Amino acid sequence: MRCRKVRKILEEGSHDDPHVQAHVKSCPACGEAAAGWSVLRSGFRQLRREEPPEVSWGFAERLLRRLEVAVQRPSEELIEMAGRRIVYVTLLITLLVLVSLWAPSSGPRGAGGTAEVLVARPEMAEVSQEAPLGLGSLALVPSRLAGQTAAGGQRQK
Amino acid sequence: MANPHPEARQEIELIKRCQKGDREAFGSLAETYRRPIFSLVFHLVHRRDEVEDIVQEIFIKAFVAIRGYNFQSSFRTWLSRIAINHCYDYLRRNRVSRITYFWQMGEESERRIESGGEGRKPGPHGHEDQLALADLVDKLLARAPVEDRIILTLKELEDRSVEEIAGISGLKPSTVKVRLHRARKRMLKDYKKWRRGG
Ligand SMILES: [Zn+2]
Repeated sequence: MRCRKVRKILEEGSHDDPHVQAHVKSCPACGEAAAGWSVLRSGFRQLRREEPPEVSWGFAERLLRRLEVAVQRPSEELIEMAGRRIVYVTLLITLLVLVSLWAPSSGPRGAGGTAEVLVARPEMAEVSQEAPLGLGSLALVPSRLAGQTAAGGQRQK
Repeated sequence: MANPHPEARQEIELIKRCQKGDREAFGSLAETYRRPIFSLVFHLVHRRDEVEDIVQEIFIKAFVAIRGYNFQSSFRTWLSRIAINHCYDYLRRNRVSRITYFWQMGEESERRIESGGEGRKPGPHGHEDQLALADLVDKLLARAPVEDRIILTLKELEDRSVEEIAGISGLKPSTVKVRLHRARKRMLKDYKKWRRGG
């Protein structure tokens, strides 16, 4: 039996195979790996046995109260965010107006107004697309792990 | 979607009510899934004092996001995905404070692990040896990259199948196997490093 195959079997937790045992006895490197896995498996087994803490009294009530607050918060945040954006857009418009008044005219004055509208629209559209409580990042888990795995997977080959 | 089991049908009804903003319905769902989520979070963060708070935050996130649940995966898988995502952020944030060094281990624990490791047979160790081994694995998990910690926890502590982990993480089962292999290998390497006094 080859070391590579033995290591794979050891990693998956099958120590009992007689061929593996025979190999482990005669190969110091695989013997060390077998001893290591034995320790780690025992540790995992013990950790698995540890019970999670008991749910404290009033868990459900507390959750329902917090849900109420959480449901209200996104709309408040949205209003606040929209408010902040309106301030930015207003500042931008003021700046554009000031620049267009101050700078020497090289075209029709009304063009500045068109530009303001074009600037303002995507800003406002962004507000409605924003996910409440930053939950847009939820979708990140698969891609986050997937990205790293894809890279790692290639390295493995 | 057409499920003959009344329990499954009841759950679909509850989810649909939650999607319309019914908090009481969500309370019932939370009651059903409280235990598995508690277990998952406890195994992942291993901080008794923080588990309940983290679980509450996960349920709140789930409630806010439930409109986006499209019944493509089981609700347990969907909820586990939110839990994993939340714990991932938690573990990343707390990584610096959680880095543990082997020298924090007592001499007695070290001796017990040493003797357990030399036994080469996976036979039963004494209770205190077992505790020392659990402590060692806990420290190794805390030192591991967060991605390794998550995948090892799901497989070794939560006993989830490769297919289930694939469903939770959105990875292909073959990719899960590769990642699991890599995480295990890194952990064994780290353990050997400790044995050599590194
Ligand atoms: Zn060998």
